[in-house]
Amino acid sequence: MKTAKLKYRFIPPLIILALLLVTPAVGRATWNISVDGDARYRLTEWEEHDANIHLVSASARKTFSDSRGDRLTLFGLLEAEDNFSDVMLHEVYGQYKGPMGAWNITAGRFGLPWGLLPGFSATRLLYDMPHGAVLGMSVDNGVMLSGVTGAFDYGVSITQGYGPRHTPDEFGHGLGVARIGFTPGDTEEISLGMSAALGKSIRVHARKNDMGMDADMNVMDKDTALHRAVGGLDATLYLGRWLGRLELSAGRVDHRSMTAGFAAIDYALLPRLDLNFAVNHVWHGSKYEDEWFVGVTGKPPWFTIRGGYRYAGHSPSRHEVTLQLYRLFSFNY
Amino acid sequence: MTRIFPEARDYKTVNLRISPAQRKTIEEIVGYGLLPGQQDQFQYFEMNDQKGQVIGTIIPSTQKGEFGAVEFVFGMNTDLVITDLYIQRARERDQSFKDRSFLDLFVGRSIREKMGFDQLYTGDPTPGTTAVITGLVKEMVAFETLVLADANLEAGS
Repeated sequence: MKTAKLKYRFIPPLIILALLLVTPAVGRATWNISVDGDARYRLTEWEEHDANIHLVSASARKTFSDSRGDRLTLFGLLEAEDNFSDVMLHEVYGQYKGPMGAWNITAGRFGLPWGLLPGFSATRLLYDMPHGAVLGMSVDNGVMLSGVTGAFDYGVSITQGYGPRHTPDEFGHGLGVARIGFTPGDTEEISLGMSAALGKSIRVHARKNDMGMDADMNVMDKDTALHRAVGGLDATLYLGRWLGRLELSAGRVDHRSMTAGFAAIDYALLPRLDLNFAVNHVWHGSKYEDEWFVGVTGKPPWFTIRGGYRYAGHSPSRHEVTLQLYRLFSFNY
Repeated sequence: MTRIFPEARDYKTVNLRISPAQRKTIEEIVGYGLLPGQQDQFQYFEMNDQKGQVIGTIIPSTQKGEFGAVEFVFGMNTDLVITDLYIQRARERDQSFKDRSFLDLFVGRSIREKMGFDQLYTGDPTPGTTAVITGLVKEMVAFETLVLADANLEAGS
């Protein structure tokens, strides 16, 4: 039985990975290969310190085109976290593109169409976003219809609600997520979005669940899946040297009211130096979690250096100073 | 893309490798070394009509501004004339490079006029305006070297 579950779990991503490697019989194909590395030093509670290879990832994107245009994209993203102790296929999907990208069908494991996620992720930054509390995860397995038409972009997904670490032997109750975005004007200085999510999903995208069970175990059961009915608004604003991002979410999670607010501001102080500020607050029933961040980003040649102080009022480790060395390589063929 | 080519029905991504000899040619023409990340690859989009015929080309460009990258997109029709261009993302102190009055200086200009683009703008140069002009010239030189030169070779053979 376990062998059957294992085979089911890995067949779809293996098919996509195999397709990534095989040259197509028809059409032309272009490749994009990206590799990034994230090394960090942390000082926690002004006493404990550690350093590690926080994350190394490799992604491959292969786009097949026919006589009229790009048609099929296959994408895979492999991530190794915490000194390579946790290796995960974070994203793997196939996307069929309609004319001019007005509609696209994506199947596999992909980023959910919620809030700022389609255009921004904090996974390589030194602060968090509230998607674990709002949706349970930022990446999930399922299908999505998305596209861009004029100044509007949209995405509608139906996914299992397990995230990238749990692949069950049944589809599950499912999570529906949708977003519509609007980018007015000629210079794309402002982008607005409205999102909604309805369904059930696991509690948090984490290596172990709240009971300390390993991620490989199927923990999507009636006791751990949470009902979610939430709405959200998001905005991205470029104002001269300022770059602001805002995401607000509200609704009911696990039959209790939930409100989450995220805001991040970057200011270009010097040509190669940014100041960064971020806040991340979640109210869920009587529980309140807050996170405040202030830091800098330096961009010398060849890599990026980030440093910052994070205060998390809800965490046992309230004070954390982090230094990061980051590098991204990307090639097109 | 539909902003520049509203009549387009689909697009195709084209990625070209830049050989060392081609890079040297491009750098000699533009007069400066190519930015890291642009030294060995060139990307553009073929815009196609319903029948799959190419009706134009869209080229994205990224150039150094004062406070980061200035990203913009421009399109050329089949006569290699700029049909439109617009700024995508930039964080610059002076925002005059986003004005239509500046960008329209280049609309209707042919690829053959590219080396005179710096003469079209008579205002005070800013990092943003310089990035747009430099980017236009560099992308057109690269397109000429990598795409048109190959097409001429194929036509002659």
